[in-house]
Amino acid sequence: MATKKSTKKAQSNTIVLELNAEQTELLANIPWFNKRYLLPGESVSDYDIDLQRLVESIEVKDPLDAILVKDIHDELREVQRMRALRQSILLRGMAEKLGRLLRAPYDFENDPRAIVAFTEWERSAEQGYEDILSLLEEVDTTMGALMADAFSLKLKSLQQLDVQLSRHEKNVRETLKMIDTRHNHKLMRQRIEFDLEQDRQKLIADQSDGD
Amino acid sequence: MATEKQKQANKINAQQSSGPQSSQGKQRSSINAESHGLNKSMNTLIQPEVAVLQSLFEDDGLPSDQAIELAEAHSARARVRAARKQAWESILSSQEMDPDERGRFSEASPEFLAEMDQTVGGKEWQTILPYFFLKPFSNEKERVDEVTITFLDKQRRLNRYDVKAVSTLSKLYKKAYKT
Repeated sequence: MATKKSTKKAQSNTIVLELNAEQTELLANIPWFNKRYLLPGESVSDYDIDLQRLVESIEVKDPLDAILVKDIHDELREVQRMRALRQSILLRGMAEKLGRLLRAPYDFENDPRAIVAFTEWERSAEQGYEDILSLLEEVDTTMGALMADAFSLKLKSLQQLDVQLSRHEKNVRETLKMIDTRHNHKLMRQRIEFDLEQDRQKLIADQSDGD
Repeated sequence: MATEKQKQANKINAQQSSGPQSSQGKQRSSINAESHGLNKSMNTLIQPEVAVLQSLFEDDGLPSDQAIELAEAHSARARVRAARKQAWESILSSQEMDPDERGRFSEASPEFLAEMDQTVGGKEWQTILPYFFLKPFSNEKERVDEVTITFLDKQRRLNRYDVKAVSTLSKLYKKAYKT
């Protein structure tokens, strides 16, 4: 099973998996395999820890498995980014709607208290929640209704985001299928080779019996 | 399917077009030439990783034609991923979305612009920096909305390359490793 050697190694520029020396050297010659798909602010160790978990759960046996597992890992991280973006769009929509409901008649600007409360809430789940509840009471609405309004307010972005999300989720499923196809083929080949070897042994045994 | 005559007519009509008129249209067309290189055919000779991947597939018992097809398909997928990363980064560090940069010269006088043209030595700088002439963001909400929409649009435009790369790879795996 391939595993990452150490945390210290994980911080290096190449992705380290416990394959044999020849296989490791081959993978080192694939530049895009050794590049971590990281965005500004994302941590190298988080990336490597998640990759390690995946490597262990899928049981990587050779470099080709490792390439496919890294593909899955990068797709899953993209899914996480898209989900975070979705959450943030939804919260922005809710803050916008609440700000609109709270603003005084004939006022063009949304009430800033809504943005402040939602920003606090986004930072920490407990903080800001009480403030949001009291603001909701002030305009006599519920969190569910606010969320429904936010959905219609940000519908276009959310729909586009859902398309992206399903694209990456599909890529994960397809890549898992590629791994399965290869493993099944390998297994089948081993079985056939085993059967052929048994037949050969039987033939030899029969021949020696005949002699 | 368009006939030859229709194609000719389309060509003539397109040549007579005066291009985008609105500032939004101009902004959109300014990124038309932005190149991700995903349409270029791959030169496997200058991509040593293709040879490495080919040898890995050959070691896995595949004939060389299937091995090279799979190697190229993996490289194509990696190129799409790199383009997606570039799309994220270009938005995160975009000057177009920087409230201090966007719209810097949106209200500049013709005299000032003429002086700038003279200093720089031509009008080219105006096409290189189209965001200097866009309407500035009126608030942070508008900026964040624009960032989100532009990002999603960039990602959406990459989808067809992604679909092609993954489906090609999937078909090749099925063909090569059929049981």
